[in-house]
Amino acid sequence: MQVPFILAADGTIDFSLPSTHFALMLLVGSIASVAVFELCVLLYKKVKTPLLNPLLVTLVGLILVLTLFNIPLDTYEESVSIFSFLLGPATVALAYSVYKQRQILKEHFVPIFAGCLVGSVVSMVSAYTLCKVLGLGSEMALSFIPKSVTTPIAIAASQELGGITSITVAAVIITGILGAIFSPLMAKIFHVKNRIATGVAIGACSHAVGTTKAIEMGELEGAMSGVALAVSGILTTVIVIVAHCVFQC
Amino acid sequence: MTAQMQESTQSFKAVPNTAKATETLREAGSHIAHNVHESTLSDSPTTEAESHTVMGKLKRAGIILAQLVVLIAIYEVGCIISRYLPIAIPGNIVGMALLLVLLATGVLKGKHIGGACDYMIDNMSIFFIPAGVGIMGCFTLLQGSALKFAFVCIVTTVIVFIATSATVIATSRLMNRIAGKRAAASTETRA
Repeated sequence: MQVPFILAADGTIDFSLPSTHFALMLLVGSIASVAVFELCVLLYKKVKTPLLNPLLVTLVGLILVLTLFNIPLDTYEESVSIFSFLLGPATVALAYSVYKQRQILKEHFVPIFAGCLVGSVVSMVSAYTLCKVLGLGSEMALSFIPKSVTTPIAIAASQELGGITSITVAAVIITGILGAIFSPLMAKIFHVKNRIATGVAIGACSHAVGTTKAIEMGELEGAMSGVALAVSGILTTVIVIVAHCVFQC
Repeated sequence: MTAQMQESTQSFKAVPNTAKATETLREAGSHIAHNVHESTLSDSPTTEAESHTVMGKLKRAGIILAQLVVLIAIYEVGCIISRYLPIAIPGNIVGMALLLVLLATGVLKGKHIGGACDYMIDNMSIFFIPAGVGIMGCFTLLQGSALKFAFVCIVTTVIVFIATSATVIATSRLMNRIAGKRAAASTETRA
């Protein structure tokens, strides 16, 4: 059984035939990961506490398995390369959720756009300042700047800024999971009853991982979260590029 | 579907802009959310009855797979364009803009791509697994500063949530007040 091509996370496709061993590894890694994830989703639906977020439990489980059986991280990452590749098309798919909501977007364009803009700026400034205040070093602080946007965008922004990519990805994933777990609680504590505001806030603070929770909360929240994650992702990219040009020139 | 959308828009605009703005927003929101749900149903390639049979399911899966190929093609084109751009915009953002343009200009209709897009967005968590497991790789980098790392993550998430939701609510109230003043002014001049 051979997989005809290898997909890379940056969108390149290698059409050379991989070895049987590698193809088998690809199959086992992907199927095992999906199986673990589906089990965690089932568990989540049974127990219904937000603390058992399926992605969180999956990650903890997989990391434990890899450490217990001494599987090198590189081997695992190669075996699930199809998922890192598909994150790209999945981000592209967000355009459809923006398009689907064009009516409501048109009506509430200013509030939604203002929310995303403030959210992006506050996220970048607060992350950088907090890191500096805590004395985490400037490389770490730069890696933290794009922490509220979805992984592919954050990686590009981090590289542009000169941060450490792996730290950025870790911050992005952890922020996303935190948002997915605590956003309903935050909405309750801060008395956010406006459904559009809740959705936009979830999308702006915890990107696609938070959006999965927003979809659970309601269709409008999910859609607004999708819109917010797309808009704040684009805004973050633009702000980072502009800031980079300004500081370099 | 479009008629319904217009209807909901009208009903939303017809409500007077009072201090109950948030309440109105919520109502209109649920109204529109309902419409959106209907629109996704009508966009789906198979009918309700058909989707229960094995053939219907297979047909649906085939359609989603074909749409997925289109989606990946758009992404690939986005990646190629991004390589030739003077500024570093990632390929997925270019692809997203491309898909938005294609949808807005009507080259692609919702029914041509919607199934795969909804499928990808619904299952987006899975695509974060490799990146998430990759956190393992920076355990050594984080040694000693793990607590600070967690602290920054938690605090900024809360700050961003508050800032964003407050901005949305404040801006929509402000917009409603301006619209209300305008409406009042126009009735005064008429009187």
